[in-house]
Amino acid sequence: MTAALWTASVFALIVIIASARLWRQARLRGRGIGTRLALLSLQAGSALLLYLVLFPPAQRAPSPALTVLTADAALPAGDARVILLPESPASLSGPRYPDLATALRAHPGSTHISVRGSGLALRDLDAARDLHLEFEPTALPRGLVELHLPARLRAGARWQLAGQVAGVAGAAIEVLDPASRRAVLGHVDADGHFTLTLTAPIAGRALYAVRILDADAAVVEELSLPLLIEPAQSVRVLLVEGGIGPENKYLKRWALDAGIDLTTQLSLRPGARLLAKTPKLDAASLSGFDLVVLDERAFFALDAGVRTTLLAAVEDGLGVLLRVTGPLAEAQRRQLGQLGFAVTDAEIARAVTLEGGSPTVGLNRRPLEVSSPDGLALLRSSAGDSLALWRAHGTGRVALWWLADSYRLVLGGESGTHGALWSMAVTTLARARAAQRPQLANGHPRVDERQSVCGLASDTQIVGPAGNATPLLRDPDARNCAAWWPERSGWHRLADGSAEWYVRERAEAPGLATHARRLATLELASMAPAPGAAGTLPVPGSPWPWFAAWLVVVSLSWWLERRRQMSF
Amino acid sequence: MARLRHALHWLLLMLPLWLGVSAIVLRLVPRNLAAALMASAASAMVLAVFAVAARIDRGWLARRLDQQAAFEDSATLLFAADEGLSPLAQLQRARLQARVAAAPSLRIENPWRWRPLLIAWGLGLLLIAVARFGFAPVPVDTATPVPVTRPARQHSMVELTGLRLTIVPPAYTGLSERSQSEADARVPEHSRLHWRLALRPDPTSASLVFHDGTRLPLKLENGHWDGTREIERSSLYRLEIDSRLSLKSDPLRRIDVIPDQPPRIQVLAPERSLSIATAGQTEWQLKFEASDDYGLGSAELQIRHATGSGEAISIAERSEAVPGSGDGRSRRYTRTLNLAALGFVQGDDLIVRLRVSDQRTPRAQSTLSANYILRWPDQPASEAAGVEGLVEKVLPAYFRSQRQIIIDSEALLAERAELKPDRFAERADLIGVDQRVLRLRYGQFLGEETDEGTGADGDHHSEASAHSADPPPATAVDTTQSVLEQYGHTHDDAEAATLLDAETRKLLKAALDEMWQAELALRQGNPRAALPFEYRALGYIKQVQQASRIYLARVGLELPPVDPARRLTGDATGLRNRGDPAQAAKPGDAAPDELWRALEGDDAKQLAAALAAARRWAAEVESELPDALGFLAALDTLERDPNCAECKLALRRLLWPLLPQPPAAAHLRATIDASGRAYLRALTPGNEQPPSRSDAP
Repeated sequence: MTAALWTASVFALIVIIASARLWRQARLRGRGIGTRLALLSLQAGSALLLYLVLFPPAQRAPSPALTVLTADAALPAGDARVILLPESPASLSGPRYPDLATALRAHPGSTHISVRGSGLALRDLDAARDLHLEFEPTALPRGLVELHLPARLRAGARWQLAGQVAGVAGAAIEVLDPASRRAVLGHVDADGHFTLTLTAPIAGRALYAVRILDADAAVVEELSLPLLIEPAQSVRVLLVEGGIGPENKYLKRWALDAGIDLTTQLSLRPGARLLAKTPKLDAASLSGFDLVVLDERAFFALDAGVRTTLLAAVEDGLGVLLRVTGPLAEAQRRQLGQLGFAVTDAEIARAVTLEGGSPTVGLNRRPLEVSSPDGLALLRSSAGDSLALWRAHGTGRVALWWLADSYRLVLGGESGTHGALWSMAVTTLARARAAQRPQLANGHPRVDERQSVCGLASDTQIVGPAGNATPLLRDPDARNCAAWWPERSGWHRLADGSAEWYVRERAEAPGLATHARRLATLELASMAPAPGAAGTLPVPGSPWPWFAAWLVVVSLSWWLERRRQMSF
Repeated sequence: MARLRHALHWLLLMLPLWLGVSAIVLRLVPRNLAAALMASAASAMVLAVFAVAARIDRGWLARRLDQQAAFEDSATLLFAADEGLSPLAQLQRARLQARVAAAPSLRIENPWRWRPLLIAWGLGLLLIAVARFGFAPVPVDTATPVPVTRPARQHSMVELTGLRLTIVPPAYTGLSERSQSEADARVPEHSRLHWRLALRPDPTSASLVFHDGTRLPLKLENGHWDGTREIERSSLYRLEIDSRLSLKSDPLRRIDVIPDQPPRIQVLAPERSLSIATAGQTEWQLKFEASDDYGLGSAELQIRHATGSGEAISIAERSEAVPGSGDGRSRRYTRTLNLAALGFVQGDDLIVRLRVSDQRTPRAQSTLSANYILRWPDQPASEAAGVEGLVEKVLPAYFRSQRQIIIDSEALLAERAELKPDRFAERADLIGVDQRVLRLRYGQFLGEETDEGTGADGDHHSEASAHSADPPPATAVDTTQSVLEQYGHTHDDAEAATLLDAETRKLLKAALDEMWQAELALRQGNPRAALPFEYRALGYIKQVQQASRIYLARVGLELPPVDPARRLTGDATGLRNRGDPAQAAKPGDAAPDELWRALEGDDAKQLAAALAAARRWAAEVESELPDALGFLAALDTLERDPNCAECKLALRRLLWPLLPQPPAAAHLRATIDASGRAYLRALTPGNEQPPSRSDAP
């Protein structure tokens, strides 16, 4: 019940009681019915007017646009209503507000803001959420404006660093390793985008650096690239092959060296198999594996019951990689169809080179045309053809692989590519059973910015570079998120050891911050509600006219009531 | 006066205790700490004395006076102000003042309390005695000075006040001696370095300790510490003084050695490594240019002259000194070879190369140029028309072919008329020897026993027994093979026995039989009887030569013997699973990896262990590391100051290139949550059928 409703009820009650009393008294005094009715209506009218004095009805007024100046903004021409946020250049003069919400309260009824400069800070985004927002971004600063890297890096794995450079034509990107030696050098395309492939070093923290060079190889910008490399996880892989050959030899070699918990079952001839750890293909033992790699000889040699068990295990989360190494019979094609892959022979060249691999190492594929409506490419040739497809089957994944000889990469001196290839395949397909890790909402956290971390398992602390701990209180209703304001740059880790992040200096990499602000503001502008009817907004009306009317009515009723008595 | 006396009393009471405790402290804790403790105890004592003295005030005097009965517990009134006193009090004060004036002088000082003083002094002396003898680290009978008695001046840090490093490069470099005041230096290889250090105060001994553990003791002369050493390789070193003193700062210093480069040779002429002699060429012009960083030594031209063709190539080798023109560091050598004088004829090769040495001592370095060949091509071989000619050319010359034996036999028969019978028999026997060598040669292919002694024709079993009768002393390299060679006798070679297929073996066997017969006849001096066998042997050998297949001895793969009885029968009894023998590759050295991790963490103990391990590792692989000295220096800096963040960063930079590159690892995706699981299950087409699990939608 609002205050207005309360007041109205009280007024109504008073009017009813007073009216009854008035009616009785007036009758006792022998007033005429006309006078009595006039008194009653005046009393009701005065109560109504008093209510209107207290709660004057809102009026619609045209709403003026508010021009909000943020970082890098210039003073607009014309007589716009300008407000300045703390990020705006200090040289500008005008009313300054600590944040947008304060400014809006000072300018009630503003539903339309026009943002100038590089965009609203994180602090102001919520305040601007329901406003009609126009955004005219200024040009991006010269240098690196975007940088994307995987959320998690594993020791030895290949990974890609992508980003964008603004304002530098023909820029080159140089990544320096912690010993300040060049790890990789790449060039930007016409839009300033770049993608570099790097190999993760051993597990631990490593402070790389990114350098933007202009066309004359002069350094435009240098910023740190902190990497947190996680150690390899033990993935349990079962390798079942219908024969021995170089492919499974080199696959085994990679798997053993990469710390994979490998179990093998290699058929030598009917009735003779090489077994390591004697695996059984039943539901219980399959639940102890993350991935089963089979060739088609081994797969089709399985009993129908075992195949059903295998598929049931995939539905429960197991990964299966089926390598096709030879020609397929019609019945076998049908069985592959049950896995979701339509396989037909094709008249295509067998020789391929891998996408991202060395063009000098020629590989071969089975001449197959494989299609799957929900399949995704696991592996592509440099010509863009799929060499392996995977699809989800239940909570597990199943893949068909018809690259015949990845081992040639090792023989051609590309064992790193071979390892990266299989690392990617195993990572994509293996059972999802790693613990969920808390994640930071902001990709490039910096000092004095609110950092929200989600997915916390319990209330914990965040430990800063100087060992100072800040408690994090998670909100179970909001995806277990918590937030804190870092005070120092450096590595911050959760006290329970589940995650670690590097916090940059406030002034470091200004291009990244500017671009992030710009993107967030543009997103807000694209989702902003349409401007209200003819740009009007309701403003509280003035109570004074109602007060004057109330005074008249009250005076009238006073005169009417006291008239006869005065004549006494 | 009373105050002074009171203070003195307490001072005398505390002084012996302080002395005694100090004496003990001096023996137990390090010198500087002891000094600090003693000083603080002394100041505390002085403060206490002042505090005690301050207690001798008016209140004390009043209490003291009140002890006299005459003052009637009213001594305080004497010091009170006039105003505010009640008349009664004024009266009492007047009485007291009168008594004071009348009384003789009062002794109000605290009396000397002798007993505590005596006990304190006794205790102090006892403590000093305990310190002197009870904790004596040296035997009582030696007269070595006790460290306590060392003058206090030497307890301070020793400071390096001056350094002069004189570098005397080896004489051959021609570099002049130089001096510098920095301890780090870059010096030519084998320089003599002379250190002259000034230390204040002078320690009892000082030495330079190098990173490989060697020490250079310094000698004190005229107030300077001197030492000399010849530097062969880059080193880190540090000044160390006797262990009882400490240096104010002792950073690790670095001496980098500039190695003497071997001479570099540039060949100006001839332009190509193989030159073909032109018709009418009489001389060969050679031009070399050599340079060295310090100075060139002698130069020598090596000339090899290869004459002949096929197997009959003889090589004459000689070398001659070549005088060069130019300065010591860069010289040009010109030599014109007179081909006629060298006896260079058609079919010959002349191979030259230049060796230039420098003047490095103790051992000069020399560089060889590439070989340059002048070839006068032979006339095209006229007899190489058929297969035989080629075969003749290729076959080794040290035994005769079957065809040659036939030719020899026929020639002998033709000469029979002119020869004496014994001469004839002797020549027939010689041909027989040739025939035997040839037979043995072919016999090798059949795995027959071989006897390399071409002339000896005896029972080799007796030879072998003669060997075994007198065995040579066993050497350290006695292997099974060598034992077999010494004492045993290889009758045949299984490898060779299976070298040829059955048909070829049969042919060869037949040829060998014929050779046997031919040899028999030749040895008996009957070449005519030998000829048919010789012809037949030649025929068989020709057939063998025409056999199409080539056989090579097996190497490497050693497969187990095939059991023919079981082969292709499908019998699998007795087969065992031998498991998968593959093992994970051993990762590289663990030390850099561990150090990298330890540098990240905060565990000081772990870091110290990792640093020590890395130091051992770096010492082992010093020659393989790109900047071993820098790395060792960074390790040392951090070991001395484990909390230095910048040192850690510097070490990490140096360590980074030494880290092994791990193999590409795989990882697991994060667990799918309940909603994701339900979504994925709903997508699976099979779940239109009755769901296999109860929680499936």
